Amino acid sequence: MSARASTPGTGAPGSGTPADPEPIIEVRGLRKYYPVRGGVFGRQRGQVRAVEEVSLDLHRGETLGLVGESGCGKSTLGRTLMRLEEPTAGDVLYEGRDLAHASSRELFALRRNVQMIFQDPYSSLNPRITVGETVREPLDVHRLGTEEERRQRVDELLVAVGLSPEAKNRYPHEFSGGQRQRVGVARSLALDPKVIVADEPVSALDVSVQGQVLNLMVRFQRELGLTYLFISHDLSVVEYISDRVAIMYLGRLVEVGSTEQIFQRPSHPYTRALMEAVPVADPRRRRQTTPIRGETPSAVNPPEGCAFHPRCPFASEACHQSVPVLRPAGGDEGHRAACLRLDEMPATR
Amino acid sequence: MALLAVEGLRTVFETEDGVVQAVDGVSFEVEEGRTLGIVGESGCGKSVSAMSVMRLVPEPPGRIEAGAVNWKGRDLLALDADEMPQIRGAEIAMIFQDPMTSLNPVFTIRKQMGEVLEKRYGLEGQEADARMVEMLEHVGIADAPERLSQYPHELSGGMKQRVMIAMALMCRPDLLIADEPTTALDVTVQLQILHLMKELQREYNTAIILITHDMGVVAETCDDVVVMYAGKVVESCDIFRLFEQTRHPYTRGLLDSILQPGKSKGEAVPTIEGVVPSLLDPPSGCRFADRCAQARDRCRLHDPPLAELTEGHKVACHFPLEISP
Repeated sequence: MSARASTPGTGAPGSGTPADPEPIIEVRGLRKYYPVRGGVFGRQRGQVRAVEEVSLDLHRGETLGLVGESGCGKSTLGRTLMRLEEPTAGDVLYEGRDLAHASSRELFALRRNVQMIFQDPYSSLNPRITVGETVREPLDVHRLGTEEERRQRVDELLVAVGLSPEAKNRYPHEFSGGQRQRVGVARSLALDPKVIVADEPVSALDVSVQGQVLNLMVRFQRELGLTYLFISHDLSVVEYISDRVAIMYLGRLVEVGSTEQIFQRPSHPYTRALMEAVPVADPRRRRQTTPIRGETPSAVNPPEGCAFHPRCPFASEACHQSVPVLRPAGGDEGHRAACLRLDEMPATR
Repeated sequence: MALLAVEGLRTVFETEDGVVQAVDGVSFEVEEGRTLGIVGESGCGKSVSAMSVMRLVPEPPGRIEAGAVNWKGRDLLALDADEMPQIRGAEIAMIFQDPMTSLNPVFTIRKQMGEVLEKRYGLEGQEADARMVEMLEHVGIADAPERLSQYPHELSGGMKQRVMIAMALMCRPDLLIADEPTTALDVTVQLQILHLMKELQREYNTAIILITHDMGVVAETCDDVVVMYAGKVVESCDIFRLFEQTRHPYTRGLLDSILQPGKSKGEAVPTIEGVVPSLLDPPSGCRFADRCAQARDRCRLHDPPLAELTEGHKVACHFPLEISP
């Protein structure tokens, strides 16, 4: 395969197909635990249960927003799914092939199809190499195309993300945060992947610049038929870019559904609390709601039963004991929530 | 009369590459018991303005070159360095995005809070403990007596920020300056902290300067707003006029780029093209001209002064936006 694969904005109009329910990535019972060591001998004292029994499908051509607050395990889930971290248990299938247990050689080939965009454009780019080398590196690693083809591909990618080809000779510090994230996007596209895991890609950017990167990502998805796993704590960004949304709390998925289902008819008490907590940029709509109490507990000693029960205004005795699993919510197709008291929940809005 | 009036503040930083004009002729006022938001994007000078008011700008490399900070009939910038500590903490308190800026990791909460009580009120021992527990409970910290013996790292992010607020309010300041106090917190905890600040404001009639990049936080909490861009104030007014009678093109751009609920990727997000000018060698005209859709020659040549267009609504623009009916 040549290095001159499809470049957004220069080729024929892309497929532009809406999300196809066929899964491109299937996550099954994924767990990721980290040992907690301590004492003089560094003995294991416990474990952080960062990801706990997560099953999730990523449909071809969709954007799945993965939302949660700090420490909920969303980044670990993204990294484990790409096998930047070894899973403790569970499977990740990419087009039916097992990524979680693939040999390093198989993994190398599979990785071409699944790329990542990182949060902080200030630290994710190597400051000592030029922007051109950064974008080109994946092509070199995968030995794609001739020297000349790689050079051309770099130029095309830089132009596609709105930079000039001359940018390739400059260093990251010469660019603003928004421009650096464009470089991150260009690099992620170099291998013409099918799936991009974007971990808080606009969180470090000013709001007037955030839109530039979001618009680019949306355009590339339309033109190249990309599938995104979009990890973010920012609900407004997630609502904008996602077709479906998964809400995570303390290592587990608590609600999954279409963007409309999650934002218009949230079922899980945690999802509702999140929605209510987002500040509204309208001084005439100040909220009088009482915020939910407490903060996310530690994943080393997660609460028994439903992990959200200590903060939940609806928790009953049963919630202290049994762990709820995802089940149909709101009577809509594809909408699921993990709450024991789902049927007793008052209607939203 | 305003509680605090900043006039023509100019703060620069000497760097290897030259002098950065971080804050260039900034003026604003805070009224008693009200909340003033200072908004703007990274590098606009909002934090440096606050640090200058508190005389906390590290010198060198920083230097306050001009301006006045009028506080209760005195100019804080003209005070001797040894007079400032009597004002800082007692009359004007400050909290930061990262509570660890002010909390010392090697001391217990008791030691850090106790120091303030001993210095200001001569309180020690059980009396001091009782006062600390009272303050901690007041800011919503459970198990306050046990917390006193803990170190900052044993507390969660939201809890640390609560301790900071308790310490800031211990001396009943007239003004609390909060620099991105909730930016590092989860959204559910952010709401708790914002509520707490507003409650305490009502109780103590404390004025607040809230520095933030988040227009949602501004809309939820502020009475008045100052919008900064590249070291200058571009617009200042009350919160309703900022959102409903926006006059400066930068403010408009900022508001338009907010992702409103219900918006989906079918429509592109409005953005402000281009980048903020370097403050090493800022343009002589309007600093926003390069990114402004309606900039004309005059904008590139002459820096527009901050002028009062209608009572209480100031704008620095040669061609301010018309108010839509």
